[in-house]
Amino acid sequence: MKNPAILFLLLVHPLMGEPAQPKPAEPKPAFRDAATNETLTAKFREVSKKDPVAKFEKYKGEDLSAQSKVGSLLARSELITFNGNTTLVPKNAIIRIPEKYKSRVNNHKPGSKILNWADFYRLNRGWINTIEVSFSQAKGLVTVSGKEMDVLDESGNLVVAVLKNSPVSVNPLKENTETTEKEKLETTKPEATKPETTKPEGTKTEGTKP
Amino acid sequence: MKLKFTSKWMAVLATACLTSAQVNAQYTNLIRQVQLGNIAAGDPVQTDVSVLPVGQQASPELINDTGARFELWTMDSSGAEIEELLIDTRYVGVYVPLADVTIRTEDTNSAVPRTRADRPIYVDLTISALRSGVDDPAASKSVKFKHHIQSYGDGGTGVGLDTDLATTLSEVMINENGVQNLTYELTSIAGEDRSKIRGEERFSIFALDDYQAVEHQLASQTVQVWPVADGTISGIENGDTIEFSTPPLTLAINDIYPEARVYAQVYQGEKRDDGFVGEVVPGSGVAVNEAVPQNRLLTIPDWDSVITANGAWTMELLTVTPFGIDRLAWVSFNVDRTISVRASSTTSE
Repeated sequence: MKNPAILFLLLVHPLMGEPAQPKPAEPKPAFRDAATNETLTAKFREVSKKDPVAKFEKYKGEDLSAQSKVGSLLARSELITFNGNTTLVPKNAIIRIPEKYKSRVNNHKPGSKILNWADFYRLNRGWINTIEVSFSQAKGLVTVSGKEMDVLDESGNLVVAVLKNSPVSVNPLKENTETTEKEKLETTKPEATKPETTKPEGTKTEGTKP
Repeated sequence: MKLKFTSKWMAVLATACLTSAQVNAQYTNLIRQVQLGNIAAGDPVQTDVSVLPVGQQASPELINDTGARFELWTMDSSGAEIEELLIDTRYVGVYVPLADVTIRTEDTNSAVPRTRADRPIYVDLTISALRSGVDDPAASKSVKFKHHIQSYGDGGTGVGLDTDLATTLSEVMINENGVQNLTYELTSIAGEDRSKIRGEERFSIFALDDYQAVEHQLASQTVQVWPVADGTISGIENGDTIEFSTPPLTLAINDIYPEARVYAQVYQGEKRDDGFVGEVVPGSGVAVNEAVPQNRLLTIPDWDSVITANGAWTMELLTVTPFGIDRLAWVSFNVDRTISVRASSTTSE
């Protein structure tokens, strides 16, 4: 060995460093006998005397929680399924369902992929049309009708009501509804998408033609 | 009136949820805007808005005077049926108090708050934007805090629970902004055996109904309550003496807390109550990875290796949970393996 001193230093070096800092001891976990019914019953009797919300005024009105429940989305929706894809729209958003397309509504096939409305509509414009409605029409204060609707009826396509291109539920026209001047002004003529006469975009004719 | 609605925070929630969900699932997110109003006015108008995992966009529909609820949903279509999951809801209106509910427990390992039947529940309520003017509507001056409890029943896990059947334990009005820290020392769920309660408690804050809008939920959180484990050591009795090899043991453990560990240990001497750490009995360790309590039955055929001397010994059956170490059962016994030879020797000369 040519330089035993170097080897000695290498061997000793780790020992010459700062003394290792002791790790802070982890707090010892609490140790106890498992609680039993007897111990917990006694404790519950004691803690029940302290009501955490005692300082607040008790509510004395009727229980209105039922009307604020969100509920199931599917129960409030209609499904449109075609060619391995499904989309949801709010209930009452489909305002025309021709007989030939009834099997495509609320008939979800297992394995069908859920698409958002925009993507689904882009693939299925060959047989789906939209009609832009006003908020008053959606509320059922003003009827959805007019030439545009007639054109859509003649097209034989399924018609979905949209508000700024998003599917919207349309309540049935309320009887004896007095439309206010403001609402009349708000009401715009429905603007329908033209029935598609060309092949649906991004799809093969055989796959999407009704 | 047009309010810009951002879905960014909701979408982040959705992403977080989806990353922990099944890999094979096919999720589609959407926000449904529901125009709230007088029930007599008919069904609320509903609009769907497609959302990207992250982003923001304006709501297509105007916000009614009566306010609108935005629901963030995700739909999974990978199975035979469409699975829907409501991730969050928010209400937007003319005057809307802001509220948040946070539940804290000693178990911080779960995204869904959970605790055990013998441990406390801490509820933090944060309320802001309440008004106090004389002319301000009543619904802008206070919120309603509700506490629901619901038992899962014997052995229940909460699957398919109809939360409509929950019991309202308390319903109070809060009319001050700020943070309220509430402590519930024990679960309020009723049960014949209070150590075996399993169920959930829901804490919610609602905006009040008034002439413009129906009562609606501002925030809500639920905590699951699981039973205290129990266990037995069979095969050896308190006060027994082991003279030869150790007898086979059976360890029966019920209601092991989610993600807890169970094991048996031995140490020399009589039973100690200071959490002394002994030798783990071979074959007695169990780690539970399920999200609901589990039962286990273990057979220990040979544990001779941990008995190293004569004298008094104690065996304990323990469970390690986020709440500490609980002793489920114990037994003290003696070991006397002195070999005494009774013989006589003679010599013949």
